[in-house]
Amino acid sequence: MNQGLAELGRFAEPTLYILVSLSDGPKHGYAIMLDVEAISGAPLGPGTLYGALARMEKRGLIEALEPVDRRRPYKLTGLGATTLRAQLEGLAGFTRFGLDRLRGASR
Amino acid sequence: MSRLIGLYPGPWRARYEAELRDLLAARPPGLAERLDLVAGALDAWLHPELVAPVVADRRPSPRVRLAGLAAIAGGALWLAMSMILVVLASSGRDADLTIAGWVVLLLLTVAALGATPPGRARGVGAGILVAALLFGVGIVLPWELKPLPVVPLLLVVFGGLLTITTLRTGLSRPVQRAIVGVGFGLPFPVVIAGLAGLLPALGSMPIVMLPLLSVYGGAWLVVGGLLLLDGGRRRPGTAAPIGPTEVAA
Repeated sequence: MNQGLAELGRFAEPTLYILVSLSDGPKHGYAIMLDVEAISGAPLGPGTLYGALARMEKRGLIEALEPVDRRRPYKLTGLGATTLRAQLEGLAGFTRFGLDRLRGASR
Repeated sequence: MSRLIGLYPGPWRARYEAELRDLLAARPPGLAERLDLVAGALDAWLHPELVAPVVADRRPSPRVRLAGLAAIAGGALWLAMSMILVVLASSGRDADLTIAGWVVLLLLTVAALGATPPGRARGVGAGILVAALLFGVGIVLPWELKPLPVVPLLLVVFGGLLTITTLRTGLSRPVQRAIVGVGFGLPFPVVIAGLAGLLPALGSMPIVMLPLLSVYGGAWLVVGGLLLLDGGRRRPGTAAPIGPTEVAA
């Protein structure tokens, strides 16, 4: 987790999952919850989900759309997409670095 | 479940409660989710800055704006009529202000109907129409044939219109009662004086009549101004759920 989301504390990891979930289009809370569960393999509690959504809205990473019935969809903002890209590239670099070291150690 | 959502602070519930209820209805929570909700509520109390305070939209709707403008116009015309009437009466002359009186009645009716919530406007409108028709019958009759309650009926109609309109403002109950008291209380001495045959004498005393009638017109000006200023809310600070753009700020 790079510096951008680290300040979110325990909400940093759920935030990254939610950003990934919204990267293919707007979703409402329940759809995000199911998607994150499928991505991470672990359930996302409703309190954690809305704690993360509130922080993401506050930071301008996501934007709430007009509700459809009682469900309000959220979409990624430009800042959210940039932040997600930086996070994933950072993780990819970290993964490459770790794998290279592991290969070097096994030689 | 509603008890757990009730643990969250008010502004948070105003923003997220409907969504969260929908989510919990789609997926009833187990023990872990319930504990997560309690932790989420604690977090929401510790970080109130995450949800912007609920801001009341104080802009009046076009309907309420029309009511406010009509109340101000009606009140101003009433004041002008009162002055003309009293000044002329004090010099022993008379003036036919019937048309102006009808315009005042029309404006105040528009104010009362505009200030009434749409669902109740039909009943209020029917009551006003009946009262106006009765008054109209009295107006067109020759003075000798006028039924006795014409003038009291007019004043009761005016007082009723003022009451209906005042209830729509964001004023506190005591102030509302004071204005309604003006609407119903002030005209009755005039009625009693008229019935007792003292009206001509009163008319010749502008110092008595003018303040009496001016207070009534002033009440309409105050009510109209409040409708324009506070959007016709019943209670100050009544909050509307905030929209997405306000939260994202």
